[in-house]
Amino acid sequence: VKVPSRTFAIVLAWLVFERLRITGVIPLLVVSIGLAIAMRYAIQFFFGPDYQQFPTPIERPHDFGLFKLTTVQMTTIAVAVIVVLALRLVLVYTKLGRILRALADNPTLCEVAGIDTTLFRAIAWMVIVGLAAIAGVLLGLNFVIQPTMGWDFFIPIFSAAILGGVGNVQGALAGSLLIGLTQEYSTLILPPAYKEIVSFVVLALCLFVRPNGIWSRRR
Amino acid sequence: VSVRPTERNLEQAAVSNYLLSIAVVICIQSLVTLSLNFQFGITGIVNCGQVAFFAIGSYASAILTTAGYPLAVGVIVGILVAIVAGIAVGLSTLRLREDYFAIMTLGFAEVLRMLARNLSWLTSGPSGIAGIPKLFNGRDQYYSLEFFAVVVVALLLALGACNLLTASPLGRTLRAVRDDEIAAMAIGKNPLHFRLLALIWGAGLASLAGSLWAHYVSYVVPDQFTSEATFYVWMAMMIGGLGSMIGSVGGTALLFALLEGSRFLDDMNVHIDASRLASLRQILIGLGLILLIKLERNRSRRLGRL
Repeated sequence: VKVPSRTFAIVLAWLVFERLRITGVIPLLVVSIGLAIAMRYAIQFFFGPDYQQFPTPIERPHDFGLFKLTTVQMTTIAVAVIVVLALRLVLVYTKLGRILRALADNPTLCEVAGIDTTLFRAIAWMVIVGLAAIAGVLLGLNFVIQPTMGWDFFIPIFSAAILGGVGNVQGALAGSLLIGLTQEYSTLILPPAYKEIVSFVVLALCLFVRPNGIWSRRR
Repeated sequence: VSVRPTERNLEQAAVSNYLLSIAVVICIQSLVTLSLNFQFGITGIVNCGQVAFFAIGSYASAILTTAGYPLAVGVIVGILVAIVAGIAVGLSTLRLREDYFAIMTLGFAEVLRMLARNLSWLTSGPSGIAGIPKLFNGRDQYYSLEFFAVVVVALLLALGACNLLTASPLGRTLRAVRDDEIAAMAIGKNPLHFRLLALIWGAGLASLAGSLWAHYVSYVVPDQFTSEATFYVWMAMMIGGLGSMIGSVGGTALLFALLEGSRFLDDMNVHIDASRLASLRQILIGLGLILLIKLERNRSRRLGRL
């Protein structure tokens, strides 16, 4: 299931973001929202609006004293940590990673230096879509899934990314952990329905203190 | 002596009910498109949460009129709350980079919808508020020429006001803020003030549209105010043309005529069940947005902006 869906997503991303050659932050933002709406409802069109679940067996959680974890949860954590470490290693120590970071900093200079920017942008897309797909599968293993659930996640995701620092791999992990824990512990004093609102408040506070993002060096 | 309605008469009545209801919806939505176009087209504010202000108007009217207050109170309180919310959102986020601003407004709209779903004492939660009084008693639930006249007058007034504002010195300043913030600052205009002004004006208009909507459909539920509604408005705005006030009305009319037209696929022997048709519409909205951005960019590249 994963391989065809990933190729499909890569082709789609390439089509939309490369062939249309849309530049500028706002047009890109609106386009990606358009793409998100189209994809969600395409899924709904083919598979129906109902909740679905991976056929994972019911199991008794392993007791670690402080924590109780199921095998699925342990796998999820392990996969997340491994993927983040791998991504960091690739970005920092390989030629590919250097090129990608250079591309983010200064595309024109890359072009001048003889780097095939189109090719590497495509590779970046592959990595991005792959990561999102892994996250989606892990989510599906842990919870029930539904075509239009995406709206519920974008606030926590953006909060975590901005809190961790845009372009900072281990920051993303730290930011996500912080947002996740804040959300869960907020349920001690607030009704659980307000979880996303809590992460929105965190996001707002972050941006209020540092309008260009938490770790930005610009301006 | 009452005349028994013939089948033909009934059919004609049904058709005119339907057409009138589409016209009313187009007028109300045009108000929202107008407000967004004033914000994005004229002033360059990337508001991705316009549905929030629309929802504020709807809920203000719904809550207050079902509690027995007169209609005008609902409309005015709605506009005031929307303005306060606009100031709050604007002051805390307008000094951000525009991409962060877009995310924050989108988030604001989602948070507001979550609040509407959870603050049951105020909004009756997910089941919504029903029984909002109608302005007039027409011959059918959704048929009222008087109400149509009210929304047309509201739309014309808003259109006139927006056109006056854009043609005025204020409108020039707003466009200057959009095109070159630094140049605007150089001639002593504070961009933040003018962005805030445009945000508030748009928020008020959207809230008015929301009040009219609540009194038209006579029930509100949180699910009417998902972010997809914001992007319908974005699409209508881009069809009509950025910065063109009359275009907003045209764009909205075209978009909603097309969406409504999809109902007749069934008559043309294209059989799709209702939930799939709904999904298909949203797919078209998504793809339409992408296409419109592309077209807009080609056009504005010639004009040398965006």
